[in-house]
Amino acid sequence: MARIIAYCVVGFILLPNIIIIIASFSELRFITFPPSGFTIDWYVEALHRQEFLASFRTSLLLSATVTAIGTVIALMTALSLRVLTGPVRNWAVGVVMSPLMLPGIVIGIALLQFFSLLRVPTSGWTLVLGHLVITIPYAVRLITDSLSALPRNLEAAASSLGANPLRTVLAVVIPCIKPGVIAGALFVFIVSFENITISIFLAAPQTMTLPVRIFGYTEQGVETWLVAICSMTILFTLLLMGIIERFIGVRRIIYATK
Amino acid sequence: MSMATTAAPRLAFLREITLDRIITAILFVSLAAFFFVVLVIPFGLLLSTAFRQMDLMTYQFQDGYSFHQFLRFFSDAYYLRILFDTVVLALETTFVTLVLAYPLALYMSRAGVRERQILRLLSVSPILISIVVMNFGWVIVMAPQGLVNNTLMGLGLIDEPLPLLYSHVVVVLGLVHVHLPFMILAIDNGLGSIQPEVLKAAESLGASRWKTLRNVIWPLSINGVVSGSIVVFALTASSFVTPMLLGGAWTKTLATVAYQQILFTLDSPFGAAICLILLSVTATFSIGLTRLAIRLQPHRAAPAAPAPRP
Amino acid sequence: MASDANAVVSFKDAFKPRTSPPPEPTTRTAHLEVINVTMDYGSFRAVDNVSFALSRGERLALLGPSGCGKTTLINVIAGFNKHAVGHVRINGTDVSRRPAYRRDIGVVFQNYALFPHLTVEDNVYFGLKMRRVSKAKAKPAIDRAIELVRLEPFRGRYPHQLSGGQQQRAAIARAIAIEPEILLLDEPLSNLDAKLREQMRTDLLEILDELSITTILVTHDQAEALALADRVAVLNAGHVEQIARPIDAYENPKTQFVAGFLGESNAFDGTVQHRPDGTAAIQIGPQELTFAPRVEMPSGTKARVFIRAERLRVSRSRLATDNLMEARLKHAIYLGGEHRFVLESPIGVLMAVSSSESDLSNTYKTGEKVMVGCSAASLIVLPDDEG
Repeated sequence: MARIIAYCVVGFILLPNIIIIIASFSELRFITFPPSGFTIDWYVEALHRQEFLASFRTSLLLSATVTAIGTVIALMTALSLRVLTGPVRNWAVGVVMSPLMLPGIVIGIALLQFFSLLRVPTSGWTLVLGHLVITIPYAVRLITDSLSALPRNLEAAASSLGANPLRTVLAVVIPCIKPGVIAGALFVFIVSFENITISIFLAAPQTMTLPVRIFGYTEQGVETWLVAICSMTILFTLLLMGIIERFIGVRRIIYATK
Repeated sequence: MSMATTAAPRLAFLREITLDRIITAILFVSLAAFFFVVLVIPFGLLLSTAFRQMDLMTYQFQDGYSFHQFLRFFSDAYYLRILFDTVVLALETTFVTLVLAYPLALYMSRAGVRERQILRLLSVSPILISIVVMNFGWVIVMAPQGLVNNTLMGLGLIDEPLPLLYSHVVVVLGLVHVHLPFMILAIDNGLGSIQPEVLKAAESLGASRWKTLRNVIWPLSINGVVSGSIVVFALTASSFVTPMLLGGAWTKTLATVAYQQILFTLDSPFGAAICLILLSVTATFSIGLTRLAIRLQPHRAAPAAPAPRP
Repeated sequence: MASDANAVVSFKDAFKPRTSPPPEPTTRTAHLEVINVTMDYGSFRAVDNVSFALSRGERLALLGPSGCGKTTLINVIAGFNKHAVGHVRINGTDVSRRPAYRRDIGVVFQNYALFPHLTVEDNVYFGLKMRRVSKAKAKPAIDRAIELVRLEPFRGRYPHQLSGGQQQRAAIARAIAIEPEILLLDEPLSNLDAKLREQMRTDLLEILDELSITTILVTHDQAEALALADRVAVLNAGHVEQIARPIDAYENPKTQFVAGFLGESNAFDGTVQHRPDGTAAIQIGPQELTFAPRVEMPSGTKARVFIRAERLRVSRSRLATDNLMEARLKHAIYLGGEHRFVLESPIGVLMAVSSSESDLSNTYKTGEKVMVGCSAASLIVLPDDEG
């Protein structure tokens, strides 16, 4: 009984995604479910939609940039936070982690007003900065987790062997926390790739990310090629999860989302 | 090094300035500057903007600070209604989420390692997929030619498609779906901290499964429930994508109003004020619930502050 | 007193003669000096004004119960604790202001702290790499260190592929490969199971004898301290109670703490009395025990007597000894190599240990009346602290 209820809830969680994948093969232009016939034409049409290809490129480029910069900043932040103690540390952790406590809409609006006050027009870079703000805390958390799992005295050992603090970090600490850093990077990528609440405020018309573009289209009647695009993003996420599972285990994703 | 050690005593401090210390100092300063610029300043700005006024003809800020935007909000029944609707929507969603998440989390906590891992992975998967895409799935389910309507018509229960899309129910459904993982994880976390021996002890003392659940598991998992509820409430109250997509133009929440004020009306002081009202609503809920939990569970400390997703 | 020597079976190692005992250090010849070191954690004083000096090649054991400050003290010496007061000198040079990585002190940590991402060989090479020695040039030193700890077959393995004992040896190899001035061992054997610990203790003794490096060893296990060290510093609540050769600390403790901490003793409070015949006795309740005073104590001094468990003789017949009491046997526990007796005597409950052949062949019965005795010389009587 308990099992049936549990799997019903899991089914509820998976339902929309499964529906999307199935519906994307329908032969009809307007959505019907169950679908009639089977065709991959909508995928072909979706791949011919220039604005979506452009948005996919934007999203990919954005997420890659955010991952590269964000992971480095998160790594440095996690290492720095470890050095701090007492109230200074609490304050620093509070500031760095605050984007996890603040609703996306608040961060989005705050950054938009900040940029408009500085007379910075929305562009790829405002997006990058916005995404950095919301993704860094996740990576910091994952890396801090790895750091706190380091064996006791490891750095003291390096120090006693003649490694100065910088070399200790480079030769011992970073190699030991590599899985956490990779997990952090992948998580940054996924969170950035799927984000809409921040992107919607900070994207310029020419830097519309894929979720923002899809959001714009769903407001005007839904056609099956859009379903195909959604289906592709689901498959893309599955692929990324597969990669994570393969290399570092999904346990870390579960941890990061807590 | 030998140079430094033989240096005159008054230059001894120079010995302390090593390359790694310089690098460390630069690192600290630049990180502090980064977070100050991207977090502290924008949020401070949001706070101060809420107390200003904007001339909607010229889009220029007027001089001076006042409570004008807040007075405007609280003196207008239209906005008060939206505030009320937002709280109701968030409460409904939180409740349904809890009802769905608890049995799954409970089952997960007792499942074998492998099954548990798979269930966890499946239940967090919505976090990794864009809200837009997931909402879109519900559109297909609820559309006039969608799963529900076609099934009901196929069964001959209805003759015409029901107007399911853009209804209150589907908004709640969409929000529940998007936020379910956070509740599951929080409760799973709470249940995970219960030692299995405690349950065995309850059993050995003659408690039935239901009594064990009622008298042992539920009280011990309250903390997880509380932090999950706080997260889900905060996320729901501040969500605007799902209400707009599934609720259509006439579903208004604080967040959708703020979104429109900022992006379309361009009244940023009013938008900022609504953001602050939104934050106070979620803060009030979280403090209230935490207090309640402490009162109900005097043996437990307050649950750690939860971490909602942006 | 042959039976007495037999009785101290667990400390046999400690009294193993060394070929050339190193001289007591003087300030001029000292290799390592610790001078007035004090370390506070908030209001808690972890190390309280500790001073000692070691000559080159000498091995000191810091011995004390957990929380006595011994690990903090070696952290200060190694340079991990920046907020300590006092001085540490190596070869006469004050290193107190130097960071750990410029002190040239090898440390073997309690949890070994091997680098999990490096093989045994690279772990051993790490210190030389930090000194910018190329791997080719470092090879002889690496080989020697690995050979010394007999890890040649495992040099390509990662720490998680090694057993506890092998990890411990790898940690030693890593610390000695840099040929440090000082070697610090923090509870080196505490993470090993009992059987392996015995084996490792002997191995460690061999390695240390081979190296003849100035060493400080932290331990709460007195057998380890007595076996491995030239001198023992007994620490209590952050200060040094006594520094002495193992045999001196054991046979001639200077404080009640040391007397109680080392070995297994029965302790009783009493009053010192000088007899007209010149002998001294301590009055414990109704019983008087004759003892040989080691320190000046006038009659009437409140003192505590320590009677080593292995110095008590138990017999069914009368014994020719200075102090003899009648006692009732509460428990007789046979432990293979030895007998343990719990006795009810006029001065209180006594614990006695015997491994003599005659006792082992006897089977004692609970409740039996026996004679228990000890020599005057074996009693350690130390006055209570003033106030």
